Amino acid sequence: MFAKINTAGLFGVEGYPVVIEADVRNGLPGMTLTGLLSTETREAQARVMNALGNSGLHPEPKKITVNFSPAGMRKEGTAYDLPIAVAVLCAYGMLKEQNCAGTAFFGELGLDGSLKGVRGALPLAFALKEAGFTRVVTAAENAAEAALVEDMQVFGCRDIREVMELLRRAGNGWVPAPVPEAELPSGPSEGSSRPDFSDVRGQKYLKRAAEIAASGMHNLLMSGPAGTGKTMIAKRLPSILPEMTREENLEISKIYSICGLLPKGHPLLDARPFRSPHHSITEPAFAGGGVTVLPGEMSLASGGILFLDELPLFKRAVLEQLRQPLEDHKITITRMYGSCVYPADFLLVAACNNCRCGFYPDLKKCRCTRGQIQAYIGRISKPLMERIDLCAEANPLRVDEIVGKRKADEEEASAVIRKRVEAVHALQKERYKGETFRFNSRLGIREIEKYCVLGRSETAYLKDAFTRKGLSGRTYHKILKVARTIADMEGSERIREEHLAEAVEFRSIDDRLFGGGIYNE
Amino acid sequence: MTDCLEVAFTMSDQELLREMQDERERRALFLLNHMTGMLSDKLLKIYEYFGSFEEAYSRDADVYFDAGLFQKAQLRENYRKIRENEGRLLKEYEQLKSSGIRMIMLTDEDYPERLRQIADRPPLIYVGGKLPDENRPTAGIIGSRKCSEYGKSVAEFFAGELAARGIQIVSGLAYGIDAAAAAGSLNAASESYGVLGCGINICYPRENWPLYHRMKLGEGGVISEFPPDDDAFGFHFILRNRLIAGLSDVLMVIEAGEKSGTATTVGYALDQGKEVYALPGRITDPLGFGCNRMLKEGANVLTSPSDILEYFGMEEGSVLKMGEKDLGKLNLHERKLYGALSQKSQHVESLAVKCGFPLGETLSLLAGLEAKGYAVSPRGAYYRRCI
Repeated sequence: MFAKINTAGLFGVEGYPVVIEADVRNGLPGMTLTGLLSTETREAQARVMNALGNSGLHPEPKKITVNFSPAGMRKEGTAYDLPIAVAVLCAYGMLKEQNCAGTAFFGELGLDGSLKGVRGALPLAFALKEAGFTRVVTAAENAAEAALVEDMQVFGCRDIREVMELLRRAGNGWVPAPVPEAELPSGPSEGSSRPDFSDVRGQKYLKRAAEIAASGMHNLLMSGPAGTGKTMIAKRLPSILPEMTREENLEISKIYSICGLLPKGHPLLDARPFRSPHHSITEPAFAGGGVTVLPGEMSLASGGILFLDELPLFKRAVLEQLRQPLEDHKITITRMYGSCVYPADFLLVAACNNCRCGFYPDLKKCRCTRGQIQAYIGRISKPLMERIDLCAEANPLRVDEIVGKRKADEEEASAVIRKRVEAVHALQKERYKGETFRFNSRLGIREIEKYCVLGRSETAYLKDAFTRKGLSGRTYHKILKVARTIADMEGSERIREEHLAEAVEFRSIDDRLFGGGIYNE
Repeated sequence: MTDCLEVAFTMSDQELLREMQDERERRALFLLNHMTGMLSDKLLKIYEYFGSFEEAYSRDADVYFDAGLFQKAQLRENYRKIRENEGRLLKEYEQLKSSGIRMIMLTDEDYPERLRQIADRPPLIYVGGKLPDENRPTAGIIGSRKCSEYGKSVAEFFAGELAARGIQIVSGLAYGIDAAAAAGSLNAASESYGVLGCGINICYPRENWPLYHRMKLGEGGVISEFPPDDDAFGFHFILRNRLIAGLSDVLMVIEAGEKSGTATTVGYALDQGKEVYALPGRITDPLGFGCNRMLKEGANVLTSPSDILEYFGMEEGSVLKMGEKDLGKLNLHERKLYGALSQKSQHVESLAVKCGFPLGETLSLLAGLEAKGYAVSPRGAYYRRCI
């Protein structure tokens, strides 16, 4: 006999519907699987037959053929175990196929017949919803995640017997699915445990840079000696970005779902991502790829912060991969079976020392030669530097900033800063209504001319600053974009001189590199 | 017979002949100058032996070995190489001439008198721009490449003050003190002289390109004794130091560490009988060690540009004291901020804390002070007083 069961496969973050056909007939007993399957998917034949046997079901030994359609797409993963089992049972007549109509299945089987969760339940459920399904049967572990999709009835089962029971009862009509146990996280309830800006003492300059970065979504590079709080501030940046909307969270959670990185018991992320890959990271791990094309760190940082500590130590090839995503906010990975697009819409925050020993510009301690210092910073390529709007140099900490008791409200809390950032985001959203972008950092050259208009005295001021400081033309647009954000932060529609003055200070690191060190006796 | 011939020439013909001879001599010298291992002292010996470079160039390497001018076997190979490349080198010679670089031989009239008087003078110098005026005083400013902000300020200030009063400033156009001195004199009087440790066509270090370029185009000049496209080798700098000392009537040392190349320049200056002035340093400051030692050994104390003016017997006029600024033009906040600024560079944040101003205001005030010439930013986020 023959049966058809619906499920879905994943390609990138997008899923597509897959139909599994099972055919049982007389012949040499065994199971044949067809339809471009990866090794782990093909191994389903052993898992499925043993799971059925151990669940007290003993189908007669017959020749079983299982085909996956569309056959041209490569199938990966173990989520096909359950639909194969259901299709086989239907083909044997042990289940009624009409009871499965309009229902999709996915889940991995153990040899004992237990159902296990799989990666990517969220995008799979989304794909099924799009394909018109309203019911999904899956592992209990995945139920909460799949239930995030609106108007989707999700039935979580613990083993194959429960699935059979469910399908038998469905003959009398489906009952509404129970609400999965794991609840949605209710807002920033765990806020107290998150790192907060009030933990950082002093470093007003870096904090200011961080606030500007968050307000206009400008990429940020912090330079300076070790132990000045660069990493601390980067880690706290997600806490001053506006809370994620549900749509945003779902989009980001999809990526985490594919990688199996969603926190246990939480079908959704509870905070904006903060990814800080080590500088020894490889290209595929960074951009995405591998045998099964998984999202890389750039995609995992989507909607949050990608923090690259010790930027010059990253492999050049890794850093160069940043160039396209920093422009397009997505990354395209092309492999044998096609190319998939992952989102890569992150705020890049990088930190670096100014030289190998880390003490430059303090010439009293720094022992590097001029050439060494240039070589060190020179590892960050110009095109990458051009995509970083804000560069801030840390102030080496003074003793009185570290020692001594902290006053209760000495430093601003993240919540206070976030209020301000939210206001600036709202302002930009209003201004860029009808445009394809939402933030000042996304302005192209033509948009800069439209939205960053300078008055006559401001133009003269900027010209003067350029000659005075010997700035290169490349920094011009960066300065305008940052000045736009600073003006927005003060609620000023006009960009004034003081906004420009501050923006000039946060210009590129390479303009100032040759300015020489600081030697204070 | 020869007498009759000489009489037959008119005066202008004689000049022409002389010029042609000079040209051949210059070419030969240019070619010999390109030989690896052929430095100025060896060239002088060759000149002494053969009587002319043209003669020297026409001789075989064996003659050099017989005369004891060459000792190492490698030199035979080097000598053969310039002969092999003669065509290319002569093309370069013509290019150099047409690009406005002058090649001045010891025997030429425009060879600087100051250099003619030193013992190991170079037989050939390449000059871009001008040579220092023989009738105006010159002062050399030297110091460490790795120097303090303070040292740079002082060098720039002294060079500016002196150049504005007609004193020609000579430096080595390296990083640090040299570059600051060149910048100071160029800004004050559009005139500065640099003696290079590399070929005349090379700008080393590249960061000094704006200075090098201005000087080469006639705001002062650049001088080198090395083949035009030679890189900056370490030993070049020691050699070039004798020319800095030679071109200067008086030498100022701004900052020098314990073991510093400046000591060689000072040594040359003393050999040549020049006065040396050194800027006193703090006894705890490594960059003051060299200067303080020179002072101990008898150098003159340098505390003001007037010291140099006095040495030349020049009118002082109104020499500004270092660090003196008219604060009347500043408003209250600017004045407070200027008070917080000092010679040492401070981070913007520290300044904001000192004055109690918000960060944004501090930044715009600093930008204002910088525009008015009261403050200077050696590096993003750092500011110090401008003197």
